Amino acid sequence: MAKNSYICQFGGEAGYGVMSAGIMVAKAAGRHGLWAFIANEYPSLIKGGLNTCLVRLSDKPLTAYEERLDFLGVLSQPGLEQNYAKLKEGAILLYDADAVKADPARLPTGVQAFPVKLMQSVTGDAAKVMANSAMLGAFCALTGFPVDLIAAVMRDEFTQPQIQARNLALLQEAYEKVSAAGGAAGEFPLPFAENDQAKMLLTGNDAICMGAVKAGCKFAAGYPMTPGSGILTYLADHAAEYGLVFKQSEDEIAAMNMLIGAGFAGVRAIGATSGGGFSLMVEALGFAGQAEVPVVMVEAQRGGPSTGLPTRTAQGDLNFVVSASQGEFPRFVIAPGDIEECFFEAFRVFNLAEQFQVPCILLSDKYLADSAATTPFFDDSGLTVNRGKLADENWLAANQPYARYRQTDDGVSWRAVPGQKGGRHIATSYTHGEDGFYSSGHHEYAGDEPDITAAGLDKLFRKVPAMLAALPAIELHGPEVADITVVGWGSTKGAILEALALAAAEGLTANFLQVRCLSPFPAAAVEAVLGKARRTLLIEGNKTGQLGLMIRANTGYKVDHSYLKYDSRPFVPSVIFARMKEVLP
Amino acid sequence: MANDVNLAYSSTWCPGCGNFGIFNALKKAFADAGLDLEATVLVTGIGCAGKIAQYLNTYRIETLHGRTLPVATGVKLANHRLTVIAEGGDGDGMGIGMGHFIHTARRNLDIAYFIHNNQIYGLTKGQSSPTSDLGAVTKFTPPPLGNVERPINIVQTAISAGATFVARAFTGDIPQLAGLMIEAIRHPGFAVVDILQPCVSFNHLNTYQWYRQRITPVADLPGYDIADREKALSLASLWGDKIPLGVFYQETRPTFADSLPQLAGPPLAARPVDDISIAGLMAEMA
Repeated sequence: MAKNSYICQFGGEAGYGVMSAGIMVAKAAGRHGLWAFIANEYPSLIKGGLNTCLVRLSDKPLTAYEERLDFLGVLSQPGLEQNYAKLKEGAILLYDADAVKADPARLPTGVQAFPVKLMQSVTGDAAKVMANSAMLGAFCALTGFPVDLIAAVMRDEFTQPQIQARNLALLQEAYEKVSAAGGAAGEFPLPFAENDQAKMLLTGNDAICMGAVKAGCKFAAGYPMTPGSGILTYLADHAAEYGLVFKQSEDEIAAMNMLIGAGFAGVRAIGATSGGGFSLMVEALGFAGQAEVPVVMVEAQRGGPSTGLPTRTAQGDLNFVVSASQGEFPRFVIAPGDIEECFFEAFRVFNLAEQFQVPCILLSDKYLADSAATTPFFDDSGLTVNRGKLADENWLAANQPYARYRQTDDGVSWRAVPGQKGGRHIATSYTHGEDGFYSSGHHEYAGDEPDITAAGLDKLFRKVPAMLAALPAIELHGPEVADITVVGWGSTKGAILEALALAAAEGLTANFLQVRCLSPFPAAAVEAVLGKARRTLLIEGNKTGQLGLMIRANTGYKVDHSYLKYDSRPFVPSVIFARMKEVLP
Repeated sequence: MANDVNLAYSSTWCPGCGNFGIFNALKKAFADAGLDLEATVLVTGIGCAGKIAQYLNTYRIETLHGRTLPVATGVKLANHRLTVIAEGGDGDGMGIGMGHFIHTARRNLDIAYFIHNNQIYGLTKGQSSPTSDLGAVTKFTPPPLGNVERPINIVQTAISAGATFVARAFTGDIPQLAGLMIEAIRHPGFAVVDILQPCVSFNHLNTYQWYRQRITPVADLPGYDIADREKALSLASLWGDKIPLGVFYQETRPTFADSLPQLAGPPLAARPVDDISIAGLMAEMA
């Protein structure tokens, strides 16, 4: 885990381009031997407020956010107000000389403050938008980050010649001006090098989309909702090229039902939303469960309840998602832990949806959905599509009369899709028998309803053992036995792994039980790990310790300690490590 | 090509229910149009109307209450070669499903939508519906006032929202209804048929006799012009002593699917899903 990391943060009002400044630094670093991790924070508005883009750089791969800043560049006063305390000793502070006033008394020891007229160097409406290029020039002059590397990225990012030229000029001008006035104390503290492998800079949302495309997803539907919308945007952008259709729906109810229609018709389909939109999809989720229609939904959590915190992270929807809908049916709820898992689990979940004919939910959150990291190209060579018991016409011809919901040992029946010869059937939201006819709706079934009802539910739940065996439902990171076992799920993975590395550096043994599959719940596997644990610390981004409650309900095991963070911001490795030390004797 | 439409299951509609006429008209339409029932999908809602899916041998999906149209949309976009027919009641479509109705109309997908309009909630045993007439006494709108909310005019709403084929029919005239169903199915776009249908158990106002006294061919009315939207809206506003039946409005407009270059080829459902290269997607992130 990275010990040498350099953390810079860019801040300004929404619309000032601080995010693209951060992305350009990360890309430039990523193309020249370094690794980057970007965490954005932004309020739910179009103009004004405070957007920040934190870029953590290292010579080793990064998995998490840290908040002690080596460099802070701000174009507006709030960008500084909220961050005095985050500046490290000796950090560099760059601020717009007109828009920001720095209070020397509040600066930590040794912080070097540089007021520069960043916005004044541009005129007119473009000032705020292009001030980020001036900020990057000053950043390079002050930190020793090679300005030519930023310039190269700028040439790729700004394809419109006039805009490219203006931004490059602003970058260079600010770089020269600040260099002439004193500039860098020396070289940038991390070594640049030729890349020995191709790297991407992508978010969790991007990675999920790439997994979906790889899996042959051909249909997407959704209604905009942060932080899930990024997935829909990506798929809309790539729809024509990859032969898929994205349909913006009138609401999330429609979105989920469109996906069910597509799934019924034999097309791999995905949607994306957040908790509020998922709430509207719940009835249709149950429909997919009852009718055994494969469907994939991404639920990127944000703070709740209700409208909550549209642009901030949380892990508060776990209990809701695993139990959403009336009645009982098996579903997959899979929480990828990092960007790479977003890709591979997204690919896998399309197979699982068809193999088991169940609705599947990928549960991420704003932090994972929106944060970006330099990531090696995915090795997709071993990925193979498995459509499960999807019948073809030969199979149908040999297996007449066809019954869509035929009882089987594994609970999964052969699925025909419209247009096939010999496969006509009814898929239904009603409780039904093998032929799909519903229990109380027919005189023929009048006396059989209790049997049909119980047999139907037994059929659905016969799928569960194989579902649990179909993926690594848990993962134990670190030694099998340790002084402390951290327990968590989803986007906390990166921060927890880095905290484990900090522990190891101090001679403490720690391991991490990552629960990846939250439904069906891998009770036996979790119990086996926790049975050997000396001391457990639960880490979750919610108020009530929802995974802890699920573990207790399913295994009887009660975690020893909890670190629950529900303040709308992501976990920080160093703080996790401090909590680990607190609970050790 | 499969045309064996009958199934062995008996219906649970009440004796005399208006759904029988719709059921028989739909079977006649399938036969007369020579539809391949293996390439036909019937998407139904929940309610007495939705039960029609249980009695006809096509591909069928019996969805949630009110959600026929989004499911039909998913089916149609997944496989635009299929004939997709959505059916549901007035509560299903004009109450809980109204948002979908408006948006499906403006999208103009090639779906035929048959609304079994009995102006009452039947399966839940007699509550007022969005199309109940003013003053209608129902379980939820007791005397003395009965229903005080203005009913939704399905034909007007469909034309206003952008449906490209809009008709009204009566379950008591099976040949005319079947003919309109065929026209709707063949129409390249969103085709709505408002089918007037008595509920013999719970709607004691809008009976077979009540309808028969009022129905009249729209084509016989002054100003009738199938291609004129304003005139169609005007004739659609008639609901009282005269209730016009027939095709009110028809236009040809590109469907949503027509706007997608990616649907110019084979249906999404027929495309390979194996070995898709994402090298380009990875490169653009580098």
